[in-house]
Amino acid sequence: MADTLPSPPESRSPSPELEHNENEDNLTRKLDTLLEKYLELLDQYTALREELSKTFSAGFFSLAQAQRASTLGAGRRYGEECYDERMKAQRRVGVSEDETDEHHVFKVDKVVRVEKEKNSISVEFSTSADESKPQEQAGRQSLQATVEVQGEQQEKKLRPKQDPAHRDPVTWFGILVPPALRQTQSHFVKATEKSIPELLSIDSAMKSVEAEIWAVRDELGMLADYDENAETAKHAPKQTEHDKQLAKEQIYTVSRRKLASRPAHSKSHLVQLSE
Amino acid sequence: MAAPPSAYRDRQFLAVIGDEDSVTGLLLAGVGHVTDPPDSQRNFLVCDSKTERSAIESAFNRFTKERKDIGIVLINQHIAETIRDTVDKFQDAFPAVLEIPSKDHPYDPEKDSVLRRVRRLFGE
Repeated sequence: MADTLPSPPESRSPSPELEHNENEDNLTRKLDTLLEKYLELLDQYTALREELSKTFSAGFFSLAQAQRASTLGAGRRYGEECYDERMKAQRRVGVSEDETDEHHVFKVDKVVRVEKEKNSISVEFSTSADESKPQEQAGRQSLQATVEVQGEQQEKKLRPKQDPAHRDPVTWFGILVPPALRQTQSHFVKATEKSIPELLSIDSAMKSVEAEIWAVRDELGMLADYDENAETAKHAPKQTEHDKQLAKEQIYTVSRRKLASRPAHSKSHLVQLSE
Repeated sequence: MAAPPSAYRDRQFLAVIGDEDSVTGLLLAGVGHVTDPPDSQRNFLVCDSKTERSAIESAFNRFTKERKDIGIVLINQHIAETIRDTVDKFQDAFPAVLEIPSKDHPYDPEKDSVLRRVRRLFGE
Protein backbone atom coordinates (compact mmCIF):
# COMPACT_ATOMS: atom_id res chain seq x y z
CA MET A 1 0.00 0.00 0.00
CA ALA A 2 2.70 2.37 0.96
CA ASP A 3 4.29 1.86 -2.48
CA THR A 4 1.39 3.58 -4.13
CA LEU A 5 1.83 6.60 -1.94
CA PRO A 6 4.45 9.01 -3.12
CA SER A 7 4.40 11.33 -0.19
CA PRO A 8 6.36 14.51 -0.38
CA PRO A 9 5.21 16.34 2.69
CA GLU A 10 3.88 19.51 1.12
CA SER A 11 2.39 18.28 -2.17
CA ARG A 12 -1.09 16.85 -2.55
CA SER A 13 -0.98 13.09 -2.58
CA PRO A 14 -3.22 11.06 -4.87
CA SER A 15 -5.06 9.69 -1.87
CA PRO A 16 -5.21 12.37 0.78
CA GLU A 17 -7.48 10.35 3.01
CA LEU A 18 -5.00 7.51 3.33
CA GLU A 19 -2.20 9.86 4.11
CA HIS A 20 -4.33 11.64 6.60
CA ASN A 21 -5.06 8.39 8.38
CA GLU A 22 -1.43 7.48 8.53
CA ASN A 23 -0.59 10.82 9.99
CA GLU A 24 -3.30 10.41 12.56
CA ASP A 25 -2.01 6.95 13.46
CA ASN A 26 1.44 8.36 14.00
CA LEU A 27 0.09 11.07 16.21
CA THR A 28 -1.99 8.61 18.20
CA ARG A 29 1.05 6.43 18.73
CA LYS A 30 3.01 9.47 19.82
CA LEU A 31 0.27 10.37 22.25
CA ASP A 32 0.42 6.87 23.72
CA THR A 33 4.16 7.06 24.21
CA LEU A 34 3.81 10.41 25.88
CA LEU A 35 1.04 9.26 28.18
CA GLU A 36 3.03 6.21 29.13
CA LYS A 37 6.02 8.36 29.96
CA TYR A 38 3.81 10.75 31.88
CA LEU A 39 2.38 7.97 34.05
CA GLU A 40 5.88 6.79 34.89
CA LEU A 41 6.80 10.30 35.99
CA LEU A 42 3.60 10.55 38.00
CA ASP A 43 4.51 7.32 39.76
CA GLN A 44 7.92 8.70 40.68
CA TYR A 45 6.34 11.94 41.83
CA THR A 46 3.95 10.11 44.15
CA ALA A 47 6.76 8.01 45.63
CA LEU A 48 8.90 11.10 46.23
CA ARG A 49 5.98 12.91 47.84
CA GLU A 50 5.64 10.02 50.26
CA GLU A 51 9.34 10.11 51.00
CA LEU A 52 9.25 13.86 51.61
CA SER A 53 6.31 13.51 53.99
CA LYS A 54 8.14 10.82 55.95
CA THR A 55 11.35 12.83 56.18
CA PHE A 56 9.48 15.93 57.33
CA SER A 57 7.51 13.96 59.93
CA ALA A 58 10.73 12.48 61.29
CA GLY A 59 12.23 15.97 61.38
CA PHE A 60 9.25 17.44 63.23
CA PHE A 61 9.30 14.55 65.67
CA SER A 62 12.98 15.08 66.50
CA LEU A 63 12.42 18.80 66.87
CA ALA A 64 9.57 18.15 69.31
CA GLN A 65 11.87 15.83 71.29
CA ALA A 66 14.52 18.52 71.36
CA GLN A 67 11.97 21.07 72.59
CA ARG A 68 10.89 18.73 75.40
CA ALA A 69 14.44 18.15 76.55
CA SER A 70 15.36 21.78 75.94
CA THR A 71 18.27 23.21 77.84
CA LEU A 72 17.46 26.73 76.73
CA GLY A 73 15.65 27.71 79.90
CA ALA A 74 12.05 28.35 80.81
CA GLY A 75 9.78 29.54 78.02
CA ARG A 76 12.45 29.44 75.34
CA ARG A 77 12.20 27.27 72.28
CA TYR A 78 14.36 26.20 69.40
CA GLY A 79 12.77 28.70 67.12
CA GLU A 80 12.73 32.11 65.56
CA GLU A 81 14.06 34.08 68.53
CA CYS A 82 17.36 32.21 68.39
CA TYR A 83 18.05 32.55 64.65
CA ASP A 84 21.37 34.19 63.85
CA GLU A 85 20.44 37.25 61.82
CA ARG A 86 23.80 37.21 60.04
CA MET A 87 23.16 33.79 58.54
CA LYS A 88 24.36 32.99 55.05
CA ALA A 89 23.00 30.14 52.98
CA GLN A 90 25.16 27.04 53.21
CA ARG A 91 22.99 24.96 50.93
CA ARG A 92 22.25 26.47 47.58
CA VAL A 93 20.36 25.69 44.43
CA GLY A 94 21.89 24.67 41.14
CA VAL A 95 19.78 24.29 38.01
CA SER A 96 20.78 22.60 34.80
CA GLU A 97 18.99 21.45 31.73
CA ASP A 98 18.46 17.77 31.13
CA GLU A 99 20.53 16.60 28.18
CA THR A 100 18.05 14.21 26.63
CA ASP A 101 14.87 15.97 27.56
CA GLU A 102 13.90 19.58 27.69
CA HIS A 103 13.31 20.00 31.38
CA HIS A 104 15.20 21.43 34.30
CA VAL A 105 17.15 19.43 36.83
CA PHE A 106 17.37 20.91 40.31
CA LYS A 107 20.15 20.25 42.77
CA VAL A 108 20.76 21.52 46.27
CA ASP A 109 24.33 21.23 47.48
CA LYS A 110 26.39 22.39 50.36
CA VAL A 111 28.70 25.25 49.48
CA VAL A 112 32.18 24.72 50.79
CA ARG A 113 33.20 28.35 50.78
CA VAL A 114 30.70 31.16 51.08
CA GLU A 115 31.80 34.24 49.24
CA LYS A 116 30.85 37.25 51.22
CA GLU A 117 29.51 40.29 49.43
CA LYS A 118 29.59 38.60 46.09
CA ASN A 119 25.96 37.65 46.43
CA SER A 120 24.55 41.11 46.68
CA ILE A 121 26.52 42.09 43.64
CA SER A 122 25.41 39.13 41.61
CA VAL A 123 21.82 39.92 42.50
CA GLU A 124 22.24 43.28 40.93
CA PHE A 125 23.80 41.64 37.92
CA SER A 126 21.05 39.12 37.50
CA THR A 127 18.41 41.85 37.46
CA SER A 128 20.17 43.67 34.68
CA ALA A 129 20.68 40.42 32.77
CA ASP A 130 16.98 39.70 33.00
CA GLU A 131 16.09 42.99 31.45
CA SER A 132 18.51 42.57 28.58
CA LYS A 133 17.94 40.20 25.70
CA PRO A 134 19.51 36.75 25.99
CA GLN A 135 21.34 37.29 22.69
CA GLU A 136 23.60 39.92 24.17
CA GLN A 137 26.20 37.32 25.02
CA ALA A 138 29.34 39.38 24.74
CA GLY A 139 28.11 42.26 26.86
CA ARG A 140 26.85 39.91 29.51
CA GLN A 141 30.08 37.96 29.75
CA SER A 142 32.18 41.02 30.26
CA LEU A 143 29.74 42.26 32.88
CA GLN A 144 29.98 38.95 34.67
CA ALA A 145 33.77 39.09 34.63
CA THR A 146 33.75 42.54 36.23
CA VAL A 147 31.31 41.39 38.84
CA GLU A 148 33.46 38.43 39.81
CA VAL A 149 36.60 40.51 40.13
CA GLN A 150 34.79 43.00 42.36
CA GLY A 151 33.37 40.16 44.41
CA GLU A 152 36.78 38.60 45.01
CA GLN A 153 38.37 41.86 46.02
CA GLN A 154 35.67 42.66 48.52
CA GLU A 155 35.77 39.15 49.83
CA LYS A 156 39.45 39.47 50.72
CA LYS A 157 38.86 42.74 52.48
CA LEU A 158 35.73 41.88 54.35
CA ARG A 159 36.06 38.30 55.40
CA PRO A 160 36.46 38.15 59.17
CA LYS A 161 37.98 35.16 60.92
CA GLN A 162 34.79 33.97 62.59
CA ASP A 163 32.54 34.33 59.63
CA PRO A 164 28.92 33.78 60.71
CA ALA A 165 28.38 32.40 57.25
CA HIS A 166 30.37 29.33 58.23
CA ARG A 167 28.66 28.80 61.54
CA ASP A 168 26.67 25.61 61.71
CA PRO A 169 23.04 26.65 62.32
CA VAL A 170 22.76 23.91 64.93
CA THR A 171 24.99 26.01 67.21
CA TRP A 172 22.71 29.07 67.09
CA PHE A 173 20.90 27.78 70.13
CA GLY A 174 23.90 27.30 72.39
CA ILE A 175 27.14 25.37 72.62
CA LEU A 176 25.52 22.26 74.03
CA VAL A 177 23.65 20.77 71.14
CA PRO A 178 21.10 18.14 72.14
CA PRO A 179 21.31 14.98 70.00
CA ALA A 180 17.64 15.37 69.03
CA LEU A 181 18.43 18.72 67.44
CA ARG A 182 21.24 17.18 65.44
CA GLN A 183 18.81 14.52 64.30
CA THR A 184 16.33 17.21 63.29
CA GLN A 185 19.06 18.80 61.26
CA SER A 186 19.98 15.59 59.46
CA HIS A 187 16.34 14.90 58.52
CA PHE A 188 15.90 18.36 57.07
CA VAL A 189 19.24 18.15 55.27
CA LYS A 190 18.02 14.95 53.64
CA ALA A 191 14.76 16.61 52.58
CA THR A 192 16.60 19.64 51.23
CA GLU A 193 19.33 17.81 49.36
CA LYS A 194 17.36 14.88 48.07
CA SER A 195 13.55 14.87 48.07
CA ILE A 196 12.95 18.55 47.31
CA PRO A 197 15.22 18.91 44.26
CA GLU A 198 14.12 15.51 42.94
CA LEU A 199 10.45 16.44 43.26
CA LEU A 200 11.03 19.69 41.43
CA SER A 201 12.98 17.98 38.66
CA ILE A 202 10.18 15.46 38.17
CA ASP A 203 7.63 18.27 38.20
CA SER A 204 9.58 20.06 35.51
CA ALA A 205 9.72 16.88 33.40
CA MET A 206 5.98 16.40 33.88
CA LYS A 207 5.26 19.93 32.71
CA SER A 208 7.35 19.36 29.63
CA VAL A 209 5.53 16.12 28.74
CA GLU A 210 2.17 17.76 29.50
CA ALA A 211 2.92 20.49 27.00
CA GLU A 212 3.68 17.87 24.37
CA ILE A 213 0.53 15.93 25.14
CA TRP A 214 -1.61 19.03 24.77
CA ALA A 215 0.12 19.85 21.50
CA VAL A 216 -0.47 16.36 20.05
CA ARG A 217 -4.09 16.47 21.17
CA ASP A 218 -4.37 19.83 19.46
CA GLU A 219 -3.13 18.31 16.20
CA LEU A 220 -5.52 15.42 16.57
CA GLY A 221 -8.35 17.89 17.05
CA MET A 222 -9.12 16.47 20.48
CA LEU A 223 -8.75 19.71 22.37
CA ALA A 224 -12.42 20.60 22.48
CA ASP A 225 -13.13 17.53 24.63
CA TYR A 226 -10.57 18.54 27.20
CA ASP A 227 -10.87 22.30 27.09
CA GLU A 228 -14.43 22.34 28.23
CA ASN A 229 -13.61 19.85 30.93
CA ALA A 230 -10.58 21.76 31.99
CA GLU A 231 -12.36 25.09 32.18
CA THR A 232 -15.23 23.77 34.22
CA ALA A 233 -13.18 21.36 36.29
CA LYS A 234 -13.93 21.81 39.93
CA HIS A 235 -10.28 21.50 40.82
CA ALA A 236 -9.08 24.00 38.28
CA PRO A 237 -7.35 27.00 39.81
CA LYS A 238 -9.38 30.14 39.81
CA GLN A 239 -7.70 31.90 36.94
CA THR A 240 -9.15 34.52 34.74
CA GLU A 241 -9.94 33.56 31.17
CA HIS A 242 -7.12 35.75 30.01
CA ASP A 243 -4.57 33.97 32.21
CA LYS A 244 -5.68 30.58 30.97
CA GLN A 245 -5.44 31.67 27.38
CA LEU A 246 -1.96 33.06 27.96
CA ALA A 247 -0.74 29.91 29.67
CA LYS A 248 -2.14 27.72 26.93
CA GLU A 249 -0.63 29.76 24.14
CA GLN A 250 2.74 29.54 25.85
CA ILE A 251 2.51 25.78 26.17
CA TYR A 252 1.45 25.21 22.58
CA THR A 253 4.06 27.38 20.97
CA VAL A 254 6.89 25.87 22.97
CA SER A 255 5.84 22.30 22.38
CA ARG A 256 5.14 22.66 18.66
CA ARG A 257 8.77 23.47 18.18
CA LYS A 258 9.77 20.23 19.83
CA LEU A 259 7.27 17.93 18.21
CA ALA A 260 9.17 17.13 15.05
CA SER A 261 12.25 15.87 16.86
CA ARG A 262 10.62 13.02 18.77
CA PRO A 263 10.20 9.53 17.35
CA ALA A 264 6.89 7.83 18.01
CA HIS A 265 6.78 4.13 18.77
CA SER A 266 4.39 2.47 21.12
CA LYS A 267 1.31 0.38 21.59
CA SER A 268 -1.98 2.13 21.70
CA HIS A 269 -3.49 0.74 24.86
CA LEU A 270 -3.21 3.96 26.78
CA VAL A 271 -5.55 5.99 24.65
CA GLN A 272 -8.47 4.99 26.78
CA LEU A 273 -6.88 6.69 29.73
CA SER A 274 -7.35 10.03 28.12
CA GLU A 275 -11.07 9.60 27.82
CA MET B 1 9.34 24.50 28.20
CA ALA B 2 12.94 24.84 29.11
CA ALA B 3 13.82 28.37 30.06
CA PRO B 4 17.13 29.92 28.93
CA PRO B 5 20.03 29.65 31.40
CA SER B 6 19.79 33.38 32.08
CA ALA B 7 16.45 32.68 33.75
CA TYR B 8 18.02 30.55 36.48
CA ARG B 9 21.78 31.00 36.53
CA ASP B 10 21.79 33.39 39.49
CA ARG B 11 18.94 31.77 41.37
CA GLN B 12 20.93 30.13 44.13
CA PHE B 13 18.79 30.45 47.24
CA LEU B 14 15.87 28.54 48.65
CA ALA B 15 13.15 30.65 50.28
CA VAL B 16 10.74 29.41 52.92
CA ILE B 17 7.28 30.53 53.99
CA GLY B 18 6.17 28.33 56.83
CA ASP B 19 5.27 27.81 60.45
CA GLU B 20 8.02 28.11 63.04
CA ASP B 21 8.95 24.43 63.10
CA SER B 22 9.15 24.13 59.32
CA VAL B 23 11.32 27.23 59.05
CA THR B 24 13.51 26.17 61.97
CA GLY B 25 14.05 22.75 60.42
CA LEU B 26 14.94 24.13 57.02
CA LEU B 27 17.20 26.80 58.48
CA LEU B 28 18.98 24.06 60.45
CA ALA B 29 19.63 22.48 57.05
CA GLY B 30 21.43 25.69 56.12
CA VAL B 31 19.12 27.33 53.62
CA GLY B 32 18.66 30.58 55.57
CA HIS B 33 20.20 33.71 54.14
CA VAL B 34 20.11 37.31 55.26
CA THR B 35 21.61 39.78 52.81
CA ASP B 36 24.11 42.27 54.10
CA PRO B 37 22.96 45.52 55.67
CA PRO B 38 21.83 48.24 55.17
CA ASP B 39 19.09 46.64 53.08
CA SER B 40 19.01 43.29 54.90
CA GLN B 41 16.53 40.88 53.40
CA ARG B 42 15.60 37.51 54.81
CA ASN B 43 14.74 34.61 52.56
CA PHE B 44 12.17 33.23 54.99
CA LEU B 45 8.94 34.17 56.70
CA VAL B 46 7.74 32.55 59.92
CA CYS B 47 3.94 32.42 60.02
CA ASP B 48 1.53 31.67 62.81
CA SER B 49 -2.24 31.92 63.09
CA LYS B 50 -1.94 35.68 63.61
CA THR B 51 0.07 36.35 60.45
CA GLU B 52 -1.96 38.52 58.09
CA ARG B 53 -2.85 37.10 54.71
CA SER B 54 -1.42 40.24 53.11
CA ALA B 55 1.97 39.64 54.79
CA ILE B 56 2.09 36.09 53.40
CA GLU B 57 1.06 37.30 49.99
CA SER B 58 3.65 40.05 49.88
CA ALA B 59 6.39 37.63 50.99
CA PHE B 60 5.34 35.20 48.26
CA ASN B 61 5.40 37.95 45.65
CA ARG B 62 8.73 39.22 46.90
CA PHE B 63 10.30 35.74 46.65
CA THR B 64 8.76 34.87 43.30
CA LYS B 65 8.69 38.16 41.44
CA GLU B 66 10.98 40.78 42.94
CA ARG B 67 14.03 38.80 43.97
CA LYS B 68 16.02 37.28 41.15
CA ASP B 69 18.35 35.26 43.39
CA ILE B 70 15.80 32.69 44.57
CA GLY B 71 15.58 29.38 42.75
CA ILE B 72 13.15 27.46 44.95
CA VAL B 73 10.28 28.70 47.10
CA LEU B 74 9.07 26.28 49.76
CA ILE B 75 5.71 27.02 51.31
CA ASN B 76 3.66 25.01 53.80
CA GLN B 77 0.67 23.63 51.97
CA HIS B 78 -1.79 24.99 54.56
CA ILE B 79 -0.27 28.45 54.20
CA ALA B 80 -0.39 28.20 50.41
CA GLU B 81 -4.12 27.50 50.82
CA THR B 82 -4.64 30.94 52.35
CA ILE B 83 -3.22 32.60 49.24
CA ARG B 84 -4.32 29.92 46.78
CA ASP B 85 -5.20 32.35 43.96
CA THR B 86 -1.78 33.96 44.07
CA VAL B 87 0.06 30.64 44.25
CA ASP B 88 -1.89 29.13 41.36
CA LYS B 89 -1.54 32.21 39.24
CA PHE B 90 2.23 32.00 39.45
CA GLN B 91 3.11 29.78 36.49
CA ASP B 92 6.72 30.73 35.75
CA ALA B 93 9.36 28.01 35.68
CA PHE B 94 11.55 30.06 38.04
CA PRO B 95 11.58 30.17 40.91
CA ALA B 96 10.11 26.69 41.32
CA VAL B 97 7.42 26.59 44.00
CA LEU B 98 6.99 23.48 46.13
CA GLU B 99 4.30 23.00 48.74
CA ILE B 100 5.60 21.14 51.76
CA PRO B 101 3.85 19.47 54.68
CA SER B 102 3.87 21.00 58.14
CA LYS B 103 3.75 19.46 61.58
CA ASP B 104 0.01 19.93 62.05
CA HIS B 105 -1.05 19.70 58.41
CA PRO B 106 0.21 16.63 56.55
CA TYR B 107 0.48 16.71 52.77
CA ASP B 108 -2.96 16.55 51.16
CA PRO B 109 -2.91 15.23 47.55
CA GLU B 110 -6.31 16.87 46.91
CA LYS B 111 -4.70 20.28 47.31
CA ASP B 112 -1.51 19.51 45.41
CA SER B 113 -1.26 21.76 42.37
CA VAL B 114 0.71 19.12 40.45
CA LEU B 115 -1.97 16.48 40.94
CA ARG B 116 -4.67 18.97 39.99
CA ARG B 117 -2.79 19.49 36.75
CA VAL B 118 -2.72 15.71 36.27
CA ARG B 119 -6.47 15.54 36.74
CA ARG B 120 -6.97 18.28 34.15
CA LEU B 121 -4.75 16.43 31.74
CA PHE B 122 -6.92 13.35 32.04
CA GLY B 123 -10.05 15.41 31.63
CA GLU B 124 -11.38 14.99 35.14
